Amino acid sequence: MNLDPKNYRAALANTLKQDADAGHPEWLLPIRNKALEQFLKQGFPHTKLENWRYTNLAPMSERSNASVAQPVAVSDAIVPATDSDSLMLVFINGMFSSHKSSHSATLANGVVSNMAAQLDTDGAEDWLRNSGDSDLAQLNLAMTNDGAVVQIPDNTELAETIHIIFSNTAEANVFPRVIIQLGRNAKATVVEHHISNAACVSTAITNISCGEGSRITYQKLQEEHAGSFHVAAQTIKLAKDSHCDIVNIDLGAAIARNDLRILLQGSGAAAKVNGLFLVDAERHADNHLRLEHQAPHTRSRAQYAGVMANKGHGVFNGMIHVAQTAQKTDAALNNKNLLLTPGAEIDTKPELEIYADDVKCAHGSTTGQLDAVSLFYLRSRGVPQQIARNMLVQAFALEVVQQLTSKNLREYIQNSVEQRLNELGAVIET
Amino acid sequence: MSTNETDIEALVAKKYEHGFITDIESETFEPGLDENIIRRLSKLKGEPQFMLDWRLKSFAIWKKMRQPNWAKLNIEPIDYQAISYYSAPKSPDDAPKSLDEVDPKLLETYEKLGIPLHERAKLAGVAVDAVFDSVSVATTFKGKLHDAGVIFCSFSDAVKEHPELIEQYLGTVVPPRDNYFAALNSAVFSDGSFVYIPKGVRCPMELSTYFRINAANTGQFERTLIIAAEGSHVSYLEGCTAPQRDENQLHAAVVELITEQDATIKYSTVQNWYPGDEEGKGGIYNFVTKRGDCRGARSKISWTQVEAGSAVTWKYPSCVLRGEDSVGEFYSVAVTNNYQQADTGTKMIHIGANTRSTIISKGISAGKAQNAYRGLVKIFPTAKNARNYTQCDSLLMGDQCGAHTFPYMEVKEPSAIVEHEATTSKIAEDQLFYCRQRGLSEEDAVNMIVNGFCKDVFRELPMEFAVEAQALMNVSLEGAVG
Repeated sequence: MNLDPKNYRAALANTLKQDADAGHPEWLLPIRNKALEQFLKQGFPHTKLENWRYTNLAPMSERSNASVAQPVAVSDAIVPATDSDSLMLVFINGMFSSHKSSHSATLANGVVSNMAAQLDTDGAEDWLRNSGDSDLAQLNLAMTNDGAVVQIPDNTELAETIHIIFSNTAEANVFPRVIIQLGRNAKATVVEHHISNAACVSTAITNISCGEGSRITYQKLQEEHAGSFHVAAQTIKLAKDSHCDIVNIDLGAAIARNDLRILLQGSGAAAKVNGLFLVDAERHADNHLRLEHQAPHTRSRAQYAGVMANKGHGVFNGMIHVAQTAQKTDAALNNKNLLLTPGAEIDTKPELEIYADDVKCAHGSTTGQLDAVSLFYLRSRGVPQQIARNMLVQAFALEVVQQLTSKNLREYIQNSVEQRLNELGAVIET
Repeated sequence: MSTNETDIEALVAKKYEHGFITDIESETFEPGLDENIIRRLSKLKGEPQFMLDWRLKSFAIWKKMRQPNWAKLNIEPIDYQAISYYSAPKSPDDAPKSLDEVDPKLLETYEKLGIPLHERAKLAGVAVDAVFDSVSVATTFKGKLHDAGVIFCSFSDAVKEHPELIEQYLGTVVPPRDNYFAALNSAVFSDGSFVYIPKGVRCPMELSTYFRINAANTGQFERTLIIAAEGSHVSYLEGCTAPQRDENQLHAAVVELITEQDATIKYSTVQNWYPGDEEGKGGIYNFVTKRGDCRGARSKISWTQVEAGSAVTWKYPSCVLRGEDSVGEFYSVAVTNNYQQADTGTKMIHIGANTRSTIISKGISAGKAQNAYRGLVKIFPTAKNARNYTQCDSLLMGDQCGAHTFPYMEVKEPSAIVEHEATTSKIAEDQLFYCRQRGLSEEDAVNMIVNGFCKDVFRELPMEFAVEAQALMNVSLEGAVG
């Protein structure tokens, strides 16, 4: 797929003009220019690359090519329910919506804000420069208008959940950016929520760094419109004794790709990941997870569940990488998949790359139908076949949803998963 | 560790120095590869026209390909024009005349491996006419096979005597364009084995390359073709546990197996080529394409391999499960020590309904070695109720080595069940302590634990191989634990 550099340069010119109008600092200009040129040089990733073997972004690059330079019109946004005590940061079509967001940020020395408002603070340059090495990071860097910044100072615990909502209402190209920084022994819960009612193209980058002894609960929910393209990458750096608890739920978009990379850099760091992808109709969802154990005594647990139906195509790739210095690593990764109907496909690849000897690493993957024994158990208690099947499928999927900490959000996601599975119920009856 | 072990490692290297004498003979081609070399090779072997055409076609394909680099292997660039593509069998004058002339250290290793006396001579490279036992055994066996109607001969003989079979089957499982090394092999293969088991015949004995006298120098580009006709059964053993004399650095073999309805092929390999010295210098590059095609219903192909040698191993014995209810199996132990690298695994392609496959892979990595399992399980929408079970375990010894697992699973059929599990660990201190406490030396304890770790695979080997394979593990890993 050939890119049309003209369109991207026009879009960049537009972004740079906005930067100037908003009085953003001057260092932005050269790094944006450089990023775009780098992106134009390498283009969208293609299926010849091992990492993109099963995901063809050609439709996305085509749409991006055509629409990247078009201005965005704002209409009514959908904003999902959330707990009343949470801090909301709402972005509509990539732009911060001040009146939809809540302003109760009474955090001493901390920041919970949109990024554009914080660009002249010290360290802002680093937020953007450290874009990570995911394949579309440079594109995001060149074009990102806004995003969320969360900074929690040392020894501070934020009681409220921070709910960052990227709501898209137009066939727009958006480039959300999220920066989360936790000081020593800080604690926070952040939900990154992507939702749209129009076929948008979203390229999201999230960078999280956790100071010593800190705790982050990070939940990413993706409910883009069925015609959308969503490519997101998160990098999470864990210092000594810090813990992350992650939930990643992929429900929407025509093509969704999520790259979650967790670096366990300090001894005693621990990561827990729960993922769910529900891929029906003609959707395509590709989840990549990379757990990099770089320090001794680190621990990770990852569990992904995939449900595929109709012509849905699910992809999972989970890598546990243990560096030579990371002795006493304890890592386990599991991916289980349900193929509900003919025509659906799953391509899964759990990988281990291990350079230290005193480690305990395991991974597993299963693909199949519902467990015949469980089904029989329910049937023997008088539950009709169809209902029994539905119950089992829902139990399979909802295990991950239960991990969501916000009550309203959990119920909201649970409802939408149940509804989707009920719609499938008729199809999967055998 | 103890000097005893260091000695043995030195011996292994020494033996090979002995084996690597370059003798310039008139019948060795000058280095380089072009169409003329292939024509000369084909002419020298007295091949029919179709064979030459096939070689030339393969060569044209190879020229357009590039050496793959996706494997987790660090390989020095290979200069394909610096290799001689034909070397006549070694002159008997150079070979030792009897066991008395063989390096006593080599004999010691044979002793350790428990190799029968009459085989030692052959393995040590003693001129064949001096090995009376082996010859007579082979002759008796040949008679038996002939009576059963089994064709078992060198590939060169098969091309001359059964050209119709070769033309019909050659390259139908591994076509020349399959991959770079298969194309190279197709163009320049020197020799190999050909087996045809007729309909309904159960091969009266295990076929082994040991006792084969007609292919003294199978050479670096070996080609094996085994066809099991309807309802037949054969067990084929390749290689041997003893370190072998070999002067070729690059090995690119192709093995094709075909099973018709209700037929079974069991293919066992023990590979112990020269792995290079402790600094990783030298050693064999082993690039092998092995594939079995279960064409008929209820047919079965079972691969068992023990990979202990070679500096670089690139090998994925695979099964194409085309026939309904066909079965594919892959049992593998790969041991790497010092600077050895192995990237090995299997592909199970499920096409027919009710096809089943089992993959058991055990990787042991020691020293500075890298050991990777790479596998693919692919379920086509036609493979109703297909079933796969995969288990990959890795054992690490020492903090300089690596163990990796790259399993691909592609499932397009909801009634299929695919399971994969993998673990990586080291020998647990408590296991070692338990053995030590009962009076076993540390070395014996490690050997015991490693052999236990590999048991699932060794169990699949033919009996005499299994015993030797266990001894081989012990020799290969000597000095790895301390």
